[in-house]
Amino acid sequence: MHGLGQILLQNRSGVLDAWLARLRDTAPGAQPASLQLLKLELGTLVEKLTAYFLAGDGDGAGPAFKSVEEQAATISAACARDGLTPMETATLILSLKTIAGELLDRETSAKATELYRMRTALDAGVDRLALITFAAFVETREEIIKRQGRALLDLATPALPIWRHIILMPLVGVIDTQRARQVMEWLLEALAREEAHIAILDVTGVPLIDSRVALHLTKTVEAARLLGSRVIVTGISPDAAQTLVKLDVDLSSMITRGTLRAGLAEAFRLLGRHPKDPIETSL
Amino acid sequence: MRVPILRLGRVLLTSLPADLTDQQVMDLQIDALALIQAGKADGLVIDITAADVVDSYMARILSETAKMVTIMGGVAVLAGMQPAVALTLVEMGRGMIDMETAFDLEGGVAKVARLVASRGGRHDEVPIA
Amino acid sequence: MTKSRSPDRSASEPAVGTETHAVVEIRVQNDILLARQASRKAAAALGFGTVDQTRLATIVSELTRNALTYAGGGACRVLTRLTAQERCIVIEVEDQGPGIADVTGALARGYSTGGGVGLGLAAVHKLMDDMTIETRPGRTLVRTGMTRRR
Repeated sequence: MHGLGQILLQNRSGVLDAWLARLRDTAPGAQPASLQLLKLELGTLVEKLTAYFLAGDGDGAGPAFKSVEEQAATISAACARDGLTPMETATLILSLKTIAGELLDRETSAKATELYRMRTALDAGVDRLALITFAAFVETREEIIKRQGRALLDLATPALPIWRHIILMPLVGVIDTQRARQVMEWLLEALAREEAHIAILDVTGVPLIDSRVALHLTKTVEAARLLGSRVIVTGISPDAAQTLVKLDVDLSSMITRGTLRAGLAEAFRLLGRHPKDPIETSL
Repeated sequence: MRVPILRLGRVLLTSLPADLTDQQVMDLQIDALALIQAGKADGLVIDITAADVVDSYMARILSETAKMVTIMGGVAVLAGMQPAVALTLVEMGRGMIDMETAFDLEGGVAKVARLVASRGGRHDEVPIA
Repeated sequence: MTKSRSPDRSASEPAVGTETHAVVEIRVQNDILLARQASRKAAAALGFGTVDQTRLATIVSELTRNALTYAGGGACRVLTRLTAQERCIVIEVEDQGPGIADVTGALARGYSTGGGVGLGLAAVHKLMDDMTIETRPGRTLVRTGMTRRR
């Protein structure tokens, strides 16, 4: 495919310009700064692709194509981070087929059979790149999602000492097994640190309370009991109540209240005192 | 060496050391029951602040001791469990520790007093009508 | 019997760069305490948190007591492994006892032969990331691991 390589080499800047023009069409929302960066990366891709066609017969094998593949993956990762959709990214790569194809039609004086062979090699190469791009795109997105998940997990859930012997822990977000473990650990440590006798666990901000979450809550209540403390769960929505009863979840060991306000009243009742009372130990 | 048991009024107090052998736990059970039987106390507070491990064996012996004390007419309270120990016990399974608990020794003594009172006073005093 | 929360984390595969942190012979009750301390020390050295240290010390207590009760003794090895992404502790407890006739039963809560409480293996199963049991009359090896990212 030396001929194809030659043509690409001679028209490098033309190909790149046409490509960038398409990029603006396919991804109108892209930032100018990231467009600049993409221009550099696309330039490198064209160079590497040219080198590959110059060197071999274009069967998609050998170290030269490996280098092209890596460059495509880099571009794809950049697109994913810049918030381009998978469709935009794939369209971007695939548009090289049209651009280079038009170029071939215009520039070559080769026979029809030769032209056909060049176009086939070009199509095969770019198709392959599109696939790699897609895989790399998904990989990058997954990496981002994983990182965000970890960041969310690391967001400390605060345990606030709101009264002598009472702490409040408002839970916000989805509770999975890993997070539930973490919450339990924080709650128990806070109970010990603040010498709290009662923890109010407010679940108003938890979007879904199913049997799995209920199991975690039950475990937390049991662990707190072992420390000699009580847990009051507040903010159980009507939806959650309906689900828990229908799933036949045993919540008998748990003190639950609809609102934080009712939970606080219950905490004072358990401590055997009124908020206006002088502070002293009980329970 | 046996774990010492102290008496404060009518409550027995004992504090478990960090490293406790199975034999020491069994000895403690025997000693505590003997003191309750002798009518020297109504309740037992076992402080485990120092214990950094409570495995299933120790959990069982402690729970059983509490049940035995109850059968003999007394009350037993476990006090001062470390958060990490509580977490581990809960993860191992439900109901590993089947006894009353308190935050610390002070809370344990208060709880024994309250439980004895709610039961209608000391077990060696007969209310006279 | 193998349990693995994630397939790439099996404690049973031969580990690269594994270091033996401690070996404790289990002959008397006090050796259980020594094994517990050794595992806690290894976990602390790897930077594991208090709760993980407690989980490890607890399962070492369970396994070594099993070895002492059912086989009259054995050995506990504490192995550590540090990779670029992960910190890993593997506990191996080996004995020359009669073996576990019913591993599945032993893992189910409450099962016991020989007068013990039978919660030991089930507890290990719940507290650790993975566990493998090789058992036959004359030799039983329980290997269990805990892995945390760095």
